[in-house]
Amino acid sequence: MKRTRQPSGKSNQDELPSGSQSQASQNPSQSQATSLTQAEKAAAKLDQKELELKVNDLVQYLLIMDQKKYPIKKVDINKVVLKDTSNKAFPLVMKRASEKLADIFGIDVIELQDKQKGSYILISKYEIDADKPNVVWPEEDNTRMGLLMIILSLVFMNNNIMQDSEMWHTLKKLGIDPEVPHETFGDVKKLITSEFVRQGYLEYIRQPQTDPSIYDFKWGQRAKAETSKRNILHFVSQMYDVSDPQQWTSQWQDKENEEEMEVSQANSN
Amino acid sequence: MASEETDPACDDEIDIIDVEDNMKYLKPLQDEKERREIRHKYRTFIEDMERDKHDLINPESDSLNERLKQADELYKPVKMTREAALDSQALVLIANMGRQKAQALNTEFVKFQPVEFVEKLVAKTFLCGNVLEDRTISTEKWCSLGKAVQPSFKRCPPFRFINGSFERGEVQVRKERVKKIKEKDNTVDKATVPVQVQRVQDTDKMEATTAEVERIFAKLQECYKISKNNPLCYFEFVTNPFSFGQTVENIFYVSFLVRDGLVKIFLDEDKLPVIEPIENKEAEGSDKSEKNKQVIVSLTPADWKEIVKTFGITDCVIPNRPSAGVAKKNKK
Repeated sequence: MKRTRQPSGKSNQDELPSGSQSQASQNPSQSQATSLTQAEKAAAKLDQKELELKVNDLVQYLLIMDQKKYPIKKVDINKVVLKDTSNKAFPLVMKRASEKLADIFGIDVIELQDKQKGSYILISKYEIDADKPNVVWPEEDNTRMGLLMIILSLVFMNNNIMQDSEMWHTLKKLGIDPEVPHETFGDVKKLITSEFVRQGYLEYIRQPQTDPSIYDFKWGQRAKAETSKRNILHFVSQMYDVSDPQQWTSQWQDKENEEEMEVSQANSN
Repeated sequence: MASEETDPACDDEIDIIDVEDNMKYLKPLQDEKERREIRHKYRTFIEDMERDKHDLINPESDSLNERLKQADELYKPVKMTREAALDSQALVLIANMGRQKAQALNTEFVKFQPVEFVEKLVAKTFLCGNVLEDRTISTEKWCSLGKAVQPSFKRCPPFRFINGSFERGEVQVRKERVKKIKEKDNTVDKATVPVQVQRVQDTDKMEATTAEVERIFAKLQECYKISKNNPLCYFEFVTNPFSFGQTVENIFYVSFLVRDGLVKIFLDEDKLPVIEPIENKEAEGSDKSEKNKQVIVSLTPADWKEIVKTFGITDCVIPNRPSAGVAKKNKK
């Protein structure tokens, strides 16, 4: 997923190791003028210091906004960070900020797709070593991830879709009742159908023409980015004490397809 | 399926266009009692289906097919829309169950059962030897499960401030902003609406009329002085020999002066109307002693011409209204 940096004419002052991209010219107006995109032209109007400030502001803004795990909207970035600066500078500032996040913090910025285009989420580049976890999470985070893992497993193992009635029925076995406030999770229905949905972990979609309404649970875009079908299948296999996850034929196939997709995407990039 | 079979038959019958025949379709063909019976059968049929759902969507059983045949049977006596609607409802239900049945068909070596999975999960992670009573799982257990699965997610680690490196306070700023906007909105709404309404009522027409009335009153007082406080001839004062319209307007404005008690109109010894401004002191007395009379003045262009001729009016006492004048004269 590593993006190669295009010589933008501005990156020469970048303090980051930029390796082979260092051919960026000292003066953009001379050698690069013809290849400048609209965004780069807009950014060229900013002076070097101002651009650097905006990039740093954006890095800080993204890190802070990620705390709630809600996708960060481009509109808000323009409003809060770029403010009076031309919005056309967004692509370049965003690109530079993404590079900084990747190189310094080990974080990938990912733009969501389809209806959520124009929203961004931050994903860690590296998986945590399961044997030596080096990150300590707040208790609330841990409990929620436990629940989320179960829900994602259920959806994935159930052909990537599960009706709400079946979900609630299953979760009741864990003492989770959508109608009853939960000791650990509080309003657990709200957590699952609203908070997890807003964060992009789940999709909660009403089936058309159902009365009373029937909803389906699916994986959200953040779940697809943060975890993988392989991880989920591994987790489920652990629960069943099976050494060979291939016994779930269709799920295994699904996982294989996902990995193939990723490989082909990586190659095309 | 049931509806498809009978639809063509219906169409054929309707094709024969005959008034009496058509009337037949407008009137209920079926006995209300019979219809009620059909509906009742459908409702129990649907209820039964929902009750036996578990069996019906079991890929092993053939009972869904039987239900479909039953639905076809039920449809035979149906003639009216209401019963037909129930039939489609039943059919949708059957179709839905058919889909679920197809989904449940086990094509895999090992079938995933959600409840089974959850039970295994409980046994493996939440249960430490003892039976899970009343199905509650403690926060600590949830927490340890979460810790165990965190490595499966490439989540960005939580972000903490190193003391003094960043200043907080964002939350406060945001709250203030929201409040300010709301207050502004409220005040703007309250302030603007009534002001606008008042202006609409007061301006233009009323003010223009008042100004005109005052202008004419000033002119009258001026003429009254020239004539050494003798009453003026009403017609000579009011008539504009060049414009019928202006004459009418003058009469209209003078009537305001009369109404407000600033001017009085009466007949002189020749029985001709004369006009005279009222002194303030006099006005108070006369208002009480004399009753106001209302008179309707009718004036036609012919009358106006005659007045001009009879009184030999060659010039207007009251000058034309600044904006009116020539244009008005031509129109009339």
